[in-house]
Amino acid sequence: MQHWVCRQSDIPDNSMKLFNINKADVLVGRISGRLFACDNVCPHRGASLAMGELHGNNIYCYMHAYEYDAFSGKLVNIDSLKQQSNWRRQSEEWKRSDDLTLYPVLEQDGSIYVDLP
Amino acid sequence: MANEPIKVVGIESIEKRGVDVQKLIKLLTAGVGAEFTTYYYYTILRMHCTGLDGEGIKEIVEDARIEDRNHFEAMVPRLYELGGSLPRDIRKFADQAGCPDAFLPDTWEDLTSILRLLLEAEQCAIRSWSEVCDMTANGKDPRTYDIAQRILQEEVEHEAWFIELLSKRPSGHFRRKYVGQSPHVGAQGSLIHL
Ligand code: FES
Ligand SMILES: [Fe+2]
Ligand SMILES: [Fe+2]
Repeated sequence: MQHWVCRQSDIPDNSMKLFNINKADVLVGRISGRLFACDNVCPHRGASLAMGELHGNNIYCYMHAYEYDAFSGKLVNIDSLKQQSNWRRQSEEWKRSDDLTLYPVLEQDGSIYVDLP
Repeated sequence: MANEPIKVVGIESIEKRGVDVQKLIKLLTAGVGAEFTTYYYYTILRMHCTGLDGEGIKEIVEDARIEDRNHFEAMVPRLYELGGSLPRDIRKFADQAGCPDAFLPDTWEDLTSILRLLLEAEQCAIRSWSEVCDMTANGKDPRTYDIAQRILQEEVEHEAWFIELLSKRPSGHFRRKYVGQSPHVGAQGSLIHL
């Protein structure tokens, strides 16, 4: 179902903002002019992605430094932690993460809308 | 009749105030998992605080170790009240923990490598209990919030101690009254068995 989120101008380029829509925490952002919307819950351990940062096309989670592509939802980088020798010993199961849950988002007549299941 | 589900008003009331209980249960299980694994790994780390400088930090590592165990103790009952539970298999428990394992570094003879690891573990704990505080703040779930904020207060102290030891930045630390006193988790609320 389509929901109104905010005005276009509320999300400047290269920024993201958290919205509570129908009891769901939805993160909406814009990277190089292109909009994305996703579930705010990090698929790794549930941290709030709104606390993270944008790194290029990726959403960087502040909890364990995983990065997810904002447009494909794929986990693309866990290197930031890999540098430490300890990280190499970390169990694969602990490191495992699903991909981001993305939502269709569109801009129309100066407003932004997302499609939530 | 016997199998009729009983309404849990303690859960209903926080759901009505906007808490996603399943999400909260997940965060709490990960949070207590991290406390438990940390307690375990800190035991190994403390054993390796050796030599003249090692002796100087043993006690502070021990305080952090016992207080992390206390954090596990303090939050687990709340997990069950909310309808959650500890995984039956401890391997699963460790694999879902909210923070990575604090393995003994290869370079442990250099004490700063142990201190850096301790610092990282405390910083991860601060982030994860802050998430729980955010989810339960503003009257949404006062009981979980109260326990989480007490834990968080001790994690912030632990971080400050390890930063002091690494960098000389003052932390306000003075020895606990007894090892692992847990002034926030253990005091008024009596959330743990002493
Ligand atoms: S919770 Fe987001 S990277 Fe682990
Ligand atoms: Fe802790
Ligand atoms: Fe701690």
